[in-house]
Amino acid sequence: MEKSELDKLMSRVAEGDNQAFGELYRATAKGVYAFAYSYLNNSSDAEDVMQSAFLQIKRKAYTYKKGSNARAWILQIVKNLALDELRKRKRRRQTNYPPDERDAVISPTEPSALDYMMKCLTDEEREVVILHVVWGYKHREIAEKLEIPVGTVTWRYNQAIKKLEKFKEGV
Amino acid sequence: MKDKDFFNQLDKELDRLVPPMSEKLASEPIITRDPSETGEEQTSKRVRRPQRRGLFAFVGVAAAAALTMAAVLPFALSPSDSSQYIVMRTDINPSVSLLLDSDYIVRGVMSNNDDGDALLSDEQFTSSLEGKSAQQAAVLISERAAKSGFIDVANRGSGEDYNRINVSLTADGKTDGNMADEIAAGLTNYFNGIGVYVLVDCTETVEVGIDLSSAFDENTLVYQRLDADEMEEYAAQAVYSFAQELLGDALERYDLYEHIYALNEQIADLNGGRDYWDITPGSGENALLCAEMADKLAKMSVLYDADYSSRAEFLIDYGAYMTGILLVDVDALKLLYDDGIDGENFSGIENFDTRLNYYNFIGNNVLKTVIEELFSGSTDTLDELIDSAVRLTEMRIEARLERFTSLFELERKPITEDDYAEFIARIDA
Repeated sequence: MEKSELDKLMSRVAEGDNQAFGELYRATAKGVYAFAYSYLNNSSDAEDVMQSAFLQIKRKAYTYKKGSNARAWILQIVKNLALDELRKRKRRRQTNYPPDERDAVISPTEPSALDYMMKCLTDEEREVVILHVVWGYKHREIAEKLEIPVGTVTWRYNQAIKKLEKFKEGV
Repeated sequence: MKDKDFFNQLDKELDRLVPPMSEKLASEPIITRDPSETGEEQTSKRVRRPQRRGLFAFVGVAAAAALTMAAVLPFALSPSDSSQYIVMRTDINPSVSLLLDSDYIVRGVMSNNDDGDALLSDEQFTSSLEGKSAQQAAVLISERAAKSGFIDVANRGSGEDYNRINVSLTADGKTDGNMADEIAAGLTNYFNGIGVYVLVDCTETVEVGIDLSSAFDENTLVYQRLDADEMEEYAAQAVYSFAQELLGDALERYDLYEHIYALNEQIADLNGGRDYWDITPGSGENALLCAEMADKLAKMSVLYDADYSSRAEFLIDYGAYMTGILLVDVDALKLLYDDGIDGENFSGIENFDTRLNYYNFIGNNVLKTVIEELFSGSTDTLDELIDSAVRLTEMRIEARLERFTSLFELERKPITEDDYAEFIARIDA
């Protein structure tokens, strides 16, 4: 979804439009999930954070300034929640949890693109890829958001693409 | 596989993994107005803060991460079978709450502010509170606060300047009502016995039907209960507080050196060039100056472990110290200390000269590394920065304990009943 459309949609949500919220969910849920997953590397936690993020979007709708950058506003919520979850996870670090069954939802014979991204890309590369591919940020916008030069964004993206091209090639 | 194929597969995976909107989410109302303005209950305690600029935008984020890494879990709530709980909150400046069972035995511990976090950051100390009686725990916490400099052991009290400990007991059911008096008496007796003037105010209330135990989960320290934004603010404040404490300590040392040197000059002038280490105090002005000199030297010994029983040792250290701070504008640092270090006067490129002056004076490389590397925004060395920031946090309480424990352990005359009555009269309590 285009940035301006998302801003308009979020403005409607901020006015209390529940139908607009449904559209917002459909438009951004995958992006929210992927962004959360990039921090948490776990399906169950990513889904929990996604649910919490959308709850917060409803509960904090009044703090959204109409027409401002909805994408950044939503991602900030997701990031905060993901970091909270990481903190909780560190506190539980002595406890051994059984693996999440949903993490095996993808056939073991079929390599998971998400897992591949988590394993093969650096944190910085993954962030650029998710913002660009899943959220539609332009390289220039990513550079502004992350406060790094555009050239660095492009370089990281190209590095990531090179690694991703090896996906399914047994590397 | 081309990247396009990869992203197609990623999209398909996300289609499979991301569930449709739940009924709960669909039915959740959208909040379109600030609940605090409409008088509705807040659903979250987070508040919007003005955006910080420059240095501490970075300091906050990384220090927050550092604090997360440094999480300490002394002991989680271990409730008894007791159906009744009492919360004992001790406010000195560190604020700490203890969960007590109906026998007034400690079952849980929780910090209420950043100084409380500092106090409880020592896992061994915090664990030692478990199973203690309320009176014992109140003394242990207060003693620890005094050893960390949160109670001024030299303050005899006057007007509104005196040591005070507030203890409040909140029970969720009826109690015998004597515990507040027993805790107050226990604390007063303890501090009177070691010659430290402290006013203890202890109250007990009953609030039937409230849930006292649920707040005492595994999140013992305040920062463990904060969300990312709140933690960022908290971490930045912790850095400012530490920087301020270090500056206060360094200025005190500087003043001590200056006073000792000046006093010795005055003594030499009075005694035809023979200084403090060459004369006997005698009487009159000479005796007064010598007594003041002895007091300053004792302070130097207690606070900075510097023994200047000989002139040569003092002159060597004094010379080295003054040479080390030759380029420092001490007056500017005194103004900074009086203003209190904060984001306005310490962060950002516009305050770089101030910070440089500060670092030259403090000589704390860990602090300098953390602040300046964070200021550069470099993420390449994030692990190193986190390590440094964790160390910084640990150093704060270590420094306080090292500095103030020796003061605490100095022998003092116990306070008699009459002395204490005079203290109460002085502070008009």
